[in-house]
Amino acid sequence: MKNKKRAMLGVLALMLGGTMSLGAFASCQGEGGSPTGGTKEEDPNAPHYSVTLDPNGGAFADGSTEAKTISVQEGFSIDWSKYGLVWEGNDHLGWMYAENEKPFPGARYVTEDTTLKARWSATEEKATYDLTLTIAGEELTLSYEAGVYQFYYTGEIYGGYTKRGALYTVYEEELMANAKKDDGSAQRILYRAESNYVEATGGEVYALFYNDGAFELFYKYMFQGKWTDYSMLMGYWTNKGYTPPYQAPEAPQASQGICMHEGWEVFYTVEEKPSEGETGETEEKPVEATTAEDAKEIYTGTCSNTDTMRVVFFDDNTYQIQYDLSGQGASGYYAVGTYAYTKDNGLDVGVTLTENEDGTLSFTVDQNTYLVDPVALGVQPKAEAREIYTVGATNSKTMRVVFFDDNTYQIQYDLSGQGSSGYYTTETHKWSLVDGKLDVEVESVDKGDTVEFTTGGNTYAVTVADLAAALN
Amino acid sequence: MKLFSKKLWTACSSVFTSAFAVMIAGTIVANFFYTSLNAFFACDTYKVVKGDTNENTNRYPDEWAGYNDWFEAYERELCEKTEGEGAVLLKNENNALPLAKGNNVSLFSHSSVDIVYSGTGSGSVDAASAPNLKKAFTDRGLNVNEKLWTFYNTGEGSKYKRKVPSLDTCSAKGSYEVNETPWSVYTDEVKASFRKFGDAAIFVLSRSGGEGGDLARTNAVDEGMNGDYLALSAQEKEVLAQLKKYKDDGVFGKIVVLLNSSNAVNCNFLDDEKYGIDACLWVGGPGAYGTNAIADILVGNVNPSGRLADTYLYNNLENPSLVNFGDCTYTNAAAVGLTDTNDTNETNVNYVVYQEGIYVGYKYYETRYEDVVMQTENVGSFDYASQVYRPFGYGGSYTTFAYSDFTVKETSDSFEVSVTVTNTGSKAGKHAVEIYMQKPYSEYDKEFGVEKAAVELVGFDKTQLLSAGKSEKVNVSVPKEFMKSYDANEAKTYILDQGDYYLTVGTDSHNAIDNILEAKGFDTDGNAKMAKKVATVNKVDTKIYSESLVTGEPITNHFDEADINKYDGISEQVTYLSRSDWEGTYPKSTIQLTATNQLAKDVLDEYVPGVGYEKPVYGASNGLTLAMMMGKDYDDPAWDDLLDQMTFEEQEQLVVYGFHNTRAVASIGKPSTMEENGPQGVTKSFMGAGSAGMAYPAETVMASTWSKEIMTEIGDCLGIQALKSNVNGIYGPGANIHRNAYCGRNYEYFSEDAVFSGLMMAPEIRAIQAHGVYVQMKHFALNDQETHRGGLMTWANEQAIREAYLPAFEIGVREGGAKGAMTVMNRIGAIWGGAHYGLHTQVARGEWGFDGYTITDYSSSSNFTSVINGLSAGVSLWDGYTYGETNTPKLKDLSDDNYACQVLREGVKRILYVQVNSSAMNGISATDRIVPILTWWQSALIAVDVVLGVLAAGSWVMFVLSQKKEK
Repeated sequence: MKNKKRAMLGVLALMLGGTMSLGAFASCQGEGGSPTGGTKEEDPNAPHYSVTLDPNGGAFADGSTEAKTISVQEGFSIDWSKYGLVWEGNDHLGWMYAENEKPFPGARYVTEDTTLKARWSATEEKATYDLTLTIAGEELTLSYEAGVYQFYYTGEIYGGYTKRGALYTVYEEELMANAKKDDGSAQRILYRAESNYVEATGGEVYALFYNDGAFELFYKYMFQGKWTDYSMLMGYWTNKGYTPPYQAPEAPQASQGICMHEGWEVFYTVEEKPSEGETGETEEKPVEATTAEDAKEIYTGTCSNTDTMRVVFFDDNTYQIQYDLSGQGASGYYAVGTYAYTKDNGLDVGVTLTENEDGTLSFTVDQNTYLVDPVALGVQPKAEAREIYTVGATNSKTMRVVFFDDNTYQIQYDLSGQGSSGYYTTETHKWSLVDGKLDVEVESVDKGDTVEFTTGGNTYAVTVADLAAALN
Repeated sequence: MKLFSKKLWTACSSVFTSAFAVMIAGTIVANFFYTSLNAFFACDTYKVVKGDTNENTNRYPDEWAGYNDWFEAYERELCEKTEGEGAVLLKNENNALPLAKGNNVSLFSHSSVDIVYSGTGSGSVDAASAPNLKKAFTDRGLNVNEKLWTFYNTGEGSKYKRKVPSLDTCSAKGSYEVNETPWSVYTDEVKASFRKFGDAAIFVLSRSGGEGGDLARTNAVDEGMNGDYLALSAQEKEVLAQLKKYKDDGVFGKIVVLLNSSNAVNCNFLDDEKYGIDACLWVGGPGAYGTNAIADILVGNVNPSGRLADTYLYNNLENPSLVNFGDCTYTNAAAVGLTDTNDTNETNVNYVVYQEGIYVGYKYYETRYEDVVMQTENVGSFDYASQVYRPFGYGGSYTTFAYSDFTVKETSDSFEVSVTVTNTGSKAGKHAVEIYMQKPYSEYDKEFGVEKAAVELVGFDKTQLLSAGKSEKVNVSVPKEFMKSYDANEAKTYILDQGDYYLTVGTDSHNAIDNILEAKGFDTDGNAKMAKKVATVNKVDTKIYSESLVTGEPITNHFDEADINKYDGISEQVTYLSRSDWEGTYPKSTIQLTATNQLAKDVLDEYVPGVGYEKPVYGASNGLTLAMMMGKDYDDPAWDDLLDQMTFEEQEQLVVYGFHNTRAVASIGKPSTMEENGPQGVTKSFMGAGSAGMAYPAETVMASTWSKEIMTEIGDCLGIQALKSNVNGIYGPGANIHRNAYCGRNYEYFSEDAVFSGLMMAPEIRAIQAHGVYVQMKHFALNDQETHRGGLMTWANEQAIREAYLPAFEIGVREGGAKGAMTVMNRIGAIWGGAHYGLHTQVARGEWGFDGYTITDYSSSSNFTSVINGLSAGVSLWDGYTYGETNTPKLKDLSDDNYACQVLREGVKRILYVQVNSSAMNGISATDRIVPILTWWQSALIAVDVVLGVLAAGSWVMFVLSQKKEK
């Protein structure tokens, strides 16, 4: 019995010892070497060169404004600390060869007699503002104008593979109004600053200001089929007369990727974002739904632009956008989103469907395009307009016109050149065919067999007989 | 005692065991990403154990060490100087420029507050310190309309932002969008401010571009552009038209346009009466401090001396390469089994045909122009004046220059050209002297399909700052070798053609051809005195240039399989653009190609091991270190003894895991190295490099300086910055060709002319490498579009490849002494460019004497960057952290394959040979040893593993003991 206890205590001691060794082990590491070259000593007998230093408008520390000639041993650099220069209102920016005004590197060895001139520039005053932003101990340079601060910062993404440089804009009044409204509750986002970096696909760069005195720069982009807010880094902010009501328990660390203040509350009213300009494009969203537990998979469609995404249709009129986990060292699929669909009167997945030439249907969710075989899925034909005639533009490989039997036609752009598939409809018009005369709403030229019209800079030649035949 | 509770130890043993298992798995995963993690944490991976020596091992010292603030000031001035000499005055009616100091100006367009400093992607630079236009203009004494500025910057106008595509590995998704502030948004208050700031309306026209995404030609989304991103949008047109109205009403004195784009925009609006534009300054991508130089030019502190590196057209679609650019797919791809369409990994269904052959940029416009003047048969309808807005080499000035005493002296291997340049105006200025050659277009050429441009740039130089009335004699040496042409069909080598050869000094490519035409007796605007017939060859000579002047290697065809007409993999034949029949051969529509089964087989690029190779020695103890090889010839037998010391695994890992670094090798004392991106400056690195260097203006602006002196200074600073950032090699400069204006990455490349690109790049390379920092010229070669760049099949004939694309790299090697190159992601014909033996071994090494090493472009996600095939072709290093999923065997599985072992050994030797003579060896002497160490994170993981292992094992023992106890 005693032995057993002793044995157990022994094991415990071993475990403790093993744990203790961690510190010791770690502390042995990290002895990098940084060798230095040989050292040199002054030798009065060695060759020396004379270097003339022209203060060029400034003055040496002793007040003299005349050029000085000094002697420097071969293979030595000039000890600049002995020749400090001053010129009120100017910054000394080094030296240049008097001969050609090429800069003279500060640590360069002297190898010949030389005349050098001082380089100067006017001192720029650094403005101080109420707002300060600090990243990794360094204060960012801000510009300020009429209540608006701006700063430029280049953040790294994908672990540094590439960068997102952006000009951020902070409206001081809004930031402080939100700060004032804040009652001091923990973990609140006070303000969101937009930047000038915007991607056509919806990606953007922005900054969040928190009520613990931290701010964080984000790049929003699509990852594994989901919009992801990638934290590029974090810093501190202060504003004169403002003390953060909530103090972070620890100093925020510079982060890479992971949001440091996940789940913090936005409590102020978010103003509507400015419209998307003239294009008026808004992202289509399918209707969210929940797949019943006993629902059966009836069809799986592929994603045309990535192998890791797929779409799975269930028999309870829901479908899931799924992400293949095998690339992540796991197995199976992760449902990124679940949505409703119907297939009784044509397929309706809640977003625009494109009928491809091979009869498959495609639709886009979160910028990924999925292919569906309507026959395999058991889609009932739609009683609506059907495509009856298609012809490509005569002057473009990517544009085409599609005529429907409901007397509309669409100008479509082939997305395959955009790393996507399917077509994007740029214009929709009406058409009519009366007594063999085709009217397409825009100006057209009758060329006998064909009618040619131009819209959006592209020309389409419609063979009227084929269109008429297709209608019947 | 609770310590012995069974429950406690059940819990402990399961918790610790799970944690141990998780940690072990984590450790395995972490070690898989060894290279990336080291890069990320900037770890020391080795230590130097010093030998007994006092040798000064600081071979490539940072001469600015300790004086970083002085260096920064120098770089800032250099950045300004580059923009100041690179910006091109395209138009200046009635001396609208310079403006007077104290002028009140209004800056228009949303881009005026948000200019494009460079481009997007890996070459993008940090513009954090960049002064905006308002600050730059105000500092130079102009008064800027604050109300209008605020309107764009933070007011109603700020809602309109330029949009760019989103880059994902190889390809960028989405489009470039202008999204300019519409006139309807301008408030009355803003409009009322114009009069007070009416001395000049300055309109900033910006266009972006970048990696992975070309510019739209037919599908740009902004209104009014007709799908062409380089045209004006409806909003821009309206604002410009409104400015004209205000000018007519006397509100604005003049209208000035700043072209802030590295891609040439359509210039048709510049002379359009609707807009009444008085002056236009092309500024390109100005980098961090270029805005100061723009302001200096506007107020006359600097006299512009930049000259175009591209032909500027009224309409960019009128370019013979345009119909064969971008997105082309084999009509029958799927039918022959070509189905890869994933732009991130690879496509094998897309292609591009360089149907225009050698007629890239000015070589088309000036040549067809000459044929129009000479009334050559089949010249067709071609009106130079309505297509070309400003020729290649054009640039305005605030003064005027005149040439005199144009002389040419012949030596055994060169023409020594000299001309006196006199400043005949009233302001001091610099002037670039451009020397062009005309080679004869002979009957031989017509018979055998050799093409000739009417003029080709063969040399240039720039004067110093000449004050009014002062002259300078400029000498340019033109190697006679420029007289050669490549005959891919009959002689299958370079020939010296029969006929007359001319040299001329031209103010631009058009003036050059006019001078030659005058000398030939035609009536043009040229000056016959500025052109000279320098040689007449009576009979075609197929011998004189048939051997490399560098190596003596016989020169013959190596790109037949990239020429559709000589390759079985494509059903069609292509008619290349030919001077013999302009009308009949001008590319009018996209060539639709049909693939054959041969192509489907060839794209697989199966691995075929060489036979008769011996197994190299591994793991020998010869006592050598890499440092002992410093300065030794590549052929020195000691290399073999050194390589014998390495293991197969060491060699394999050195070559495969080269993402922005190369690994340390214990057996030979090789230190690790770091490499970074950098056409526009050394970029900030997550590889442990220090801070980012100066963001210089885009390469296109550098080119437009026509100053080798500036290129030397930039190279010098890049080298110093690399030393400061602990970077040993730079992924740059870029030397692909502006085949047309739509390539997304044009800002990272110099020009449409390959010889000019090479002549500008060579001094930069020399200067960078003088600091022990090696370059990787990119992208070698034929990566002249971004669309489908991962796998795109590029089809071109051999004369075009050798004359219009390769000379940039060739001059980089022969004159710049480049020690490195980076491959392309696309294919040359059916073969991935990194596995093209002809390019890398027969041409680069065999003909040019290239003795550096070549790295691939980013390789991890690709499924075509085969290591074994690349090594066989002469490429040495993979820019990745893991193998791509290629269909050839992985190198690590080929340790029993003697041929694979030998090509691997050769690749390793290439890397070592460059690095041993570089800054990588700073601090290391021959007697030192390099000892790889566990990085801190590896140590930490092992420590945690050990502790958890002990805890788990202990808990199990305790669990067993406690169970026994309970019994």
